[in-house]
Amino acid sequence: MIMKGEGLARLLFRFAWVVQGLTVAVGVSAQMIHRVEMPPDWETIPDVPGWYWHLVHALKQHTWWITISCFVLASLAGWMKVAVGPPKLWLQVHKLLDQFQARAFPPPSNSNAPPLHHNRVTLFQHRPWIWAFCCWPGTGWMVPIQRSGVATRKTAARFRAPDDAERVEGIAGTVWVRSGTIFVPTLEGQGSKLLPAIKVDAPDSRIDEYAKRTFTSERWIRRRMKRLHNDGCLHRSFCGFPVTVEGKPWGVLVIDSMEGALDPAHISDAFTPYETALSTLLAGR
Amino acid sequence: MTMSDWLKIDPRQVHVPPEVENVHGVEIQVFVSPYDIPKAIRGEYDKRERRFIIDFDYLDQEPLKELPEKHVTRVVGELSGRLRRLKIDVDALNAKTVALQVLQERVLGALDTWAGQEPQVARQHAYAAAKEAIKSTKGKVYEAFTGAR
Repeated sequence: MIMKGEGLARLLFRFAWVVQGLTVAVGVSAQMIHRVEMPPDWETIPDVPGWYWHLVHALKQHTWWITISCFVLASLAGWMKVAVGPPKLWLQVHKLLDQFQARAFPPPSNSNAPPLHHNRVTLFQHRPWIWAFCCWPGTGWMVPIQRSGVATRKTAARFRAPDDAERVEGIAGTVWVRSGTIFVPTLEGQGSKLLPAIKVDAPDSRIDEYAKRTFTSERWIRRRMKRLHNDGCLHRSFCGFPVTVEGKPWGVLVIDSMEGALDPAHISDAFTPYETALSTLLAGR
Repeated sequence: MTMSDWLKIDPRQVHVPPEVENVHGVEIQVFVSPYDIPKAIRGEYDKRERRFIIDFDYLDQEPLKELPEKHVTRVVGELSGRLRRLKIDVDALNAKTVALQVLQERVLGALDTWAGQEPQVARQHAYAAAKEAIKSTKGKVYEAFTGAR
């Protein structure tokens, strides 16, 4: 199972790789052919096909246009490769999230281990623009890049994170603007109660409370509810913290669980062995 | 220069109280980011310049900028604003006998002052984490200073 858009990203990366290779080859060939001396009677030389000399002649006439075009195309392909990121890197990030998830949520001693998708780790990246049919695609968004486990990875859950901090959405957006770690429910105070259980038939009051405490809209929660089956339930506790790469804010890691409130000390301990690896991987993009 | 080794910081020993915020009627607690907690610190004494230096090591590297002040110079991350290095002018603390306690107070006091000057909670937390990291070494970070004098 791959993340939504991950297949397209892989295809784009390979396409960019091929385009870059071809354009560099054509550009270099054009420069080399430019230096070939054309024989005066090139059109009538026997044993050499006519198209060959016509091609050489055309290349010699348009060498500089071809070279410049190839340079522009190769640069664009290079930019696309960097923007998409190598698929192998995302595979490594996924493995790392899996390891972090396994450490944060060790299977209980009895045999009733919850399914992997009950406790997830999702890496969101902040992007100033998204290619999507939605309102304000250019205002800044938190986009899911990788998620631990094998199920629920084709998520379309993206959250607004515009420059106007008052209009951010979701746990990911809230963590992004605050650059600090947030737990829902909180450890103490008004918000320390576990998030209400949202099942298919959840009453409006619960939906309203859930939406309010997860910084989303009621409409958004109802859309999520449509995907629930039978005894399915939305996640009941969240933790999010910012991810920086070379000192620059890059995105957010969100941990969610259906099982109960998350323990800050345990989550922090679980992440410690992977902190450096994650930053190094993301810096190598 | 007297060099001392890096002292690894246990994040569990770095207690930064969370900031309570109200977001659209919902109370949340904002804790320090794991990226703002120093992974290791070290203290060294530059005999020639008579400066005591404290270095902070974090998860990621970044370009640095120096912010000189009267007696204490700080080097911070250009992008994150995290404290990377502190240079304390020992002579300016006390002309003849500089007690370790004076140095400790000056260091912790400076960190409190800078935290207070930061408008962002995340940056205040980063200074608080640096302070807690120093305290968690239980004075070991100052060993280079006491040993050299």
